[in-house]
Amino acid sequence: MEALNNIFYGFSISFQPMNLLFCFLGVLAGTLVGVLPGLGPPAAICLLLPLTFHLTPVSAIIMLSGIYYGAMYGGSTTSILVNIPGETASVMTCLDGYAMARQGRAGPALGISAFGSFIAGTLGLVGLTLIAAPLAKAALKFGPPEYFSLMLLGFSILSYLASGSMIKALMMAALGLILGAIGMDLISGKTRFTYGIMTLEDGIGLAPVVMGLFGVSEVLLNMEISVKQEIFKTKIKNLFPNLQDWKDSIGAISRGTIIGFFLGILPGGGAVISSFASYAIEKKISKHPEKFGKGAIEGVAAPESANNAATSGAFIPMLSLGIPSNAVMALLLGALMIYGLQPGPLLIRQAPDLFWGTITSMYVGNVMLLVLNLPLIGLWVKILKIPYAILFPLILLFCLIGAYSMNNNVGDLIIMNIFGIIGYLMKKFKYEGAPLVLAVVLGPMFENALRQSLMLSHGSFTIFVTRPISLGFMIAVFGILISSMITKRRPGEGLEE
Amino acid sequence: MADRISGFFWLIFSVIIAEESYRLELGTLHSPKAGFLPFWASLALGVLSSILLLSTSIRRQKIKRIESIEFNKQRLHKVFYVLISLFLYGLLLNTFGFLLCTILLIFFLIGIVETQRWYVVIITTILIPFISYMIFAVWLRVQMPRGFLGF
Repeated sequence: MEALNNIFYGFSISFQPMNLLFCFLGVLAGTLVGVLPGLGPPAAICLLLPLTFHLTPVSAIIMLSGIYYGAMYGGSTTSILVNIPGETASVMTCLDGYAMARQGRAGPALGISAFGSFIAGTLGLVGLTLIAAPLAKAALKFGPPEYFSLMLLGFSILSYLASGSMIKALMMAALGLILGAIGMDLISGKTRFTYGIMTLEDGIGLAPVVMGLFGVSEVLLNMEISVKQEIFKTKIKNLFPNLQDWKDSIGAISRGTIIGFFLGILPGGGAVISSFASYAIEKKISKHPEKFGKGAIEGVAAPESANNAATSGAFIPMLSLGIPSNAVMALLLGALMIYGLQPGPLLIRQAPDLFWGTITSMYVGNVMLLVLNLPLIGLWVKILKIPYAILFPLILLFCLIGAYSMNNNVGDLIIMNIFGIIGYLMKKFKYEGAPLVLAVVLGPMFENALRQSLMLSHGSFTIFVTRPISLGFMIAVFGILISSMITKRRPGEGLEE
Repeated sequence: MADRISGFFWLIFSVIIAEESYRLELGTLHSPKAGFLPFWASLALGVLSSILLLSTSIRRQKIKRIESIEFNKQRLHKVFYVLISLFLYGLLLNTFGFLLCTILLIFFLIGIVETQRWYVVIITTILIPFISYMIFAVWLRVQMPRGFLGF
């Protein structure tokens, strides 16, 4: 009954005209950044963050969240019609989506992608609605050891599910922890690795790191390979999948939803990993694995469902525990702090309007996205016709403005450019960016939790295994490490190729 | 080859960071200090890069194939041009101001790096900076640097 009351309360917030407007703007901007290759939700959030300073925190978070889950819908359009993922989470959709478009089935591919996204997104939201509040209550029992073990579990999962080498993924996580330590040490007040550079005293900003690693580096790579942005010329018809398509996809959508939701909850899981994992599992259990990559509709339905369910799941640790599971959540967490709110278990009591208003606005946003992505598909196709020669300066300009506008500091532009080079080289040398970003995001919290735990236990590491919740997380970490040693091939390994 | 180069680089990097962290003070397990986490993280990075180097040597002996890094030499200059323009943008933004800097950047990227037709260059060089100025500086009220020209 209490849950129902909370949901009604949430809808009373999200149906306020201003909140509806900002929800629409958010999902519209999200679809746009999803459609445009190279410009992801973190860049869009950084760009629009200054606008939110004039809004109420509820409207602001509703809009910024809309960008995140809206991008998942938009990303599939580019994958299916151009064979270039608009969003990293839509990489897997290219494989079968583009093949379907080539077979004249672009309509059903776009349709199942939108419906799958809607179903998974909505079911994920039901999970978010049911889990977030009880978890926030349970999280009141979390101390530094529990937070430390949970974050360690996040690093382990992300490295385990990496599509490349697990050693390289762990190396990037270690590098991220070092980068996260740059700036002032919160406990002693000492500055670390700043070398007299003022910009570094507050630490490396997340926005320039993310936009450099994912935005600038992507443009640099594309400059080298001459992007042929050819939209597959086909009449988009039959957007509503037929009965056979539904029969083939419904299992994939269900499994994608479950995988995406649970991987989304875990720090480090997120939309990208879950889309990779769900595709791999779908291929493995299929009676016709040979059809994958050649236009199997399950190959579109599974990753698209998974990435949308993961976006709902990702809100759970952020809203309930104050732990961002990915870069977007870290930016939202930063935004909450700017509005004077303390993310974590107490958020539900301090700002119930924001907590329930944001969750229920996502139900509304998902319906808006279905309308935006099916009847208005022609509009997005037109945007895709912008040649890359015009598009890449725009992407770079948005990254520059986004990185600058966070602190009005040109030093952040230089940091972004440096991370652009690092990201470019990382891709050349086959290192993944996600573990590095997660470690930069969680680094300061991870360090505080570790140091506080050790101080609490007078220097004994047993504190992580003597407290039941922490022990549970540690067993999971241990299990993952053992599993990576004994299994020949990890779930996501080699998929990116 | 690629893994050997990167593994060696990270190994040296980890040694430098470990030394710097040690200088910051590690503290004790009872009371960890500012250098504690970076030291252990750099140690982990060092151990992992050593494993990478070792496994690369073993793999090389087994398969006798050199894995190389691929750069497209014909188009690599474009990557450098883009990078130089981005760094110059960052360095000149406060002096030249947002509008002038953006006009120069867009002209350089579309007109020189991508060599588009002259009318495309003129239209984009005018439209993109002015529209972005109106959206971000005027509408969203982002405090973009004004530079010596005052805008």
